[in-house]
Amino acid sequence: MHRYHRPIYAYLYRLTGRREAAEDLAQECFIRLMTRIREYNPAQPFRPWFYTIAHNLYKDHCRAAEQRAHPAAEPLSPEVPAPIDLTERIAEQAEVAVAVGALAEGEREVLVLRYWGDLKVDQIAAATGLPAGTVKSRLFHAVQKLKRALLDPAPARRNQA
Amino acid sequence: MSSQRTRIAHEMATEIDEEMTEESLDLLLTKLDLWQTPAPSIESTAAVIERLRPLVPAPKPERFRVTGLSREPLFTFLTSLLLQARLLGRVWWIGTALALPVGYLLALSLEGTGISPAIIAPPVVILGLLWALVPMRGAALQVELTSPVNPAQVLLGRLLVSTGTHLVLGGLLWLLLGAPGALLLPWTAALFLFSGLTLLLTLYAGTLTALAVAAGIWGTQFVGVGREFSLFAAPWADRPAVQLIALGVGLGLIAWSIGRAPLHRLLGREG
Repeated sequence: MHRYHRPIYAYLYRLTGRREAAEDLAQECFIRLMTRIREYNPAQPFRPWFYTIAHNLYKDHCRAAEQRAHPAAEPLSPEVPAPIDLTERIAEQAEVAVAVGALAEGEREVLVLRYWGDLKVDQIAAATGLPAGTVKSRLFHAVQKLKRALLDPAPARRNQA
Repeated sequence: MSSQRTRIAHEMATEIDEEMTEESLDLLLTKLDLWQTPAPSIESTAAVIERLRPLVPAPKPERFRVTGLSREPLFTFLTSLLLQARLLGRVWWIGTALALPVGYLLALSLEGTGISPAIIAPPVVILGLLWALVPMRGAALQVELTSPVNPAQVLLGRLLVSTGTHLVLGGLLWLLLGAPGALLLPWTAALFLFSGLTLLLTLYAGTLTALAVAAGIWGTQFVGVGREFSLFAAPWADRPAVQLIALGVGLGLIAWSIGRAPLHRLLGREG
């Protein structure tokens, strides 16, 4: 359990931007894993299957939040420390969190699965139920946006201005 | 992390088919690494474990008793065999594959010397069992605890994998290199006799003691070859009837061991 708890929690944290939500969802994820373990095909790699469960739970979470008219599915605004406490590193971290949070939800999820989850495109496609082409396209757009926001922020700010 | 990042940057550069170079992707991913997530709280981890506990099937007490060989389905038993095969590890397989041809050549060299070629088989058996029974205690215990096999099946699984490999490789050598037929029976008899003896001693005296005693018996006989008190050099040692008796005794010892196998001895844990 310890092997997967942190990665799954991190995945859900990066999507929800909320500690409590990520902890609750990670917990549900393990419960669902145990109750559906018979559906797992040992011939397939385990990690993508586990991320599929996490993905579905996250989607359920978003739908429930929408029904409650809570803005959980809106663009992410991660927990960022108060400006007065920001060191340079924390500021950089917050910059990345905000940039990732500003991605469209689908792009964010694909990016998180690809980079931090280290899943291949076909595995992401299987986990999210998207065509591989869509996964690639979302990854492309996510990278483009992050590049503008993080590597070349000046023009982006000029555009915003 | 950096090597993983470089690898992912390389893969992503291909996947997204963009003009962006691998280096700039790597730079972007370096930036992303700055976003560290907090670790889940201890309370959260404890809560997950607490909720999972009732869902994990509790091992049945029957599994920890010696329940004989007939209560588990054949499939489960075959699965346990595969598990044992995986537990032995690459070194064991390579070592066995190398040891048998060397033993074969040594046994051939004994032809006409009056010494039974069976003298070569015991060290191969002892070394094979030493590797199979001693260094994988933790892994073997995990297998026992997570699979519905009983202790006797664990023992039989290891025995079949170890002895079966020796037999198959020996048979291959016999077929491919045309070893004299006279070599096959003494070798097989010694193989089973020492396997049975070591396994029986393992149950009553512990794994290391059993292997030491088996090695001692063999060593005494080996040293005794030149001094005319070794069974391997006895004039009747090459008689097929004697070898068949040795083979039968070996098989009998193995059957006896399997029937009387307590868990803690089978797993090589001597209290």
